[in-house]
Amino acid sequence: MRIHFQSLRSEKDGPAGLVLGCLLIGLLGLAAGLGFNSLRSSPLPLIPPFLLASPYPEAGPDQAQEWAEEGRVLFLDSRPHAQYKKAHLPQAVSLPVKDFPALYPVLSPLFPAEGWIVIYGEGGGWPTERELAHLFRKAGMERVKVLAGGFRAWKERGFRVEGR
Amino acid sequence: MNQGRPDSWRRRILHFLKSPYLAALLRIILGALFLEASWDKILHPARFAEDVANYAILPPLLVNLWALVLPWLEMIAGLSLILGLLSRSSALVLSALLVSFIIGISINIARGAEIDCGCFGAGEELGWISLFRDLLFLAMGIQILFCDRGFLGLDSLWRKRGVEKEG
Repeated sequence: MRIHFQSLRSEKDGPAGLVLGCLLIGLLGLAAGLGFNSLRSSPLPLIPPFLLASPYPEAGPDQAQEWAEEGRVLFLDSRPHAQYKKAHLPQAVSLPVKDFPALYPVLSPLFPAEGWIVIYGEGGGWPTERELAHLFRKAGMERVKVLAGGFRAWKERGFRVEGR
Repeated sequence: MNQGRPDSWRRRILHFLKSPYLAALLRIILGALFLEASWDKILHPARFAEDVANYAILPPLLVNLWALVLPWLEMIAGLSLILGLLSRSSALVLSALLVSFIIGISINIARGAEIDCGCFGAGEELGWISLFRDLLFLAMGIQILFCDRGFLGLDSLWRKRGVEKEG
């Protein structure tokens, strides 16, 4: 089937008209999206606050492994539960960000009295570990570190993982 | 005489596929589908932002902006298609969006990610069906882009008025 590019240029609706139309739709979409959001009772922030917060202290996979051998760490998996079920760090507990309000009071007795809570995410894409660390910081928990490089770095280092 | 010959059938099918009347029908179907797709995302932007984030493609700084603006682009372009107003620009916008969806879905199928599609509201897992559906929608968008002549649309009404005034 041959495509006739001239069909893009009919009557008054030439390529310039087509592009102008696209720009108009784009601008209307931008204005409506931002305008409607600002009218909501709880607007979605354009940039999530945890992305603007000061960096969270990190622990490398070797350091985290050392703490795990000494039993001085609790690993928290911030990824969606389906990813946790596939594979996770040894004895890690699943705590997806959206479940934080419900699970934090239940999990708090598990937090080690001495040692660290190490939060990890996938190590690419959306930084769920930073989002969860931000919630812990807001809840007043100080003994929290983020696993540098996330689950991917741990796996690449050749350390043991659990899962199905 | 050559009505039964295969090349005659091919010509007829091509003629049908390039028909402006088919373009008008597809405009209404595609427009309605995008109106339906946009509605839930507009009502629940936080949930849609989560779906966008799960695709793990956009930089985190752009996720919420995309989640806020995309549904409105779908809504405005869908409505324009139904009304036949700026219909080919709307088809181009929707086709560009569909290309971005197809890339995002393909990458996540290749990754083996078990995430929500986020296509028509919550609860649909991303998979091959989502990909084939978007490819079909893209074919519809391209047909409209190249073959629409404003039949049953406001574009042609305004054009006619313009011609009458000039006359």
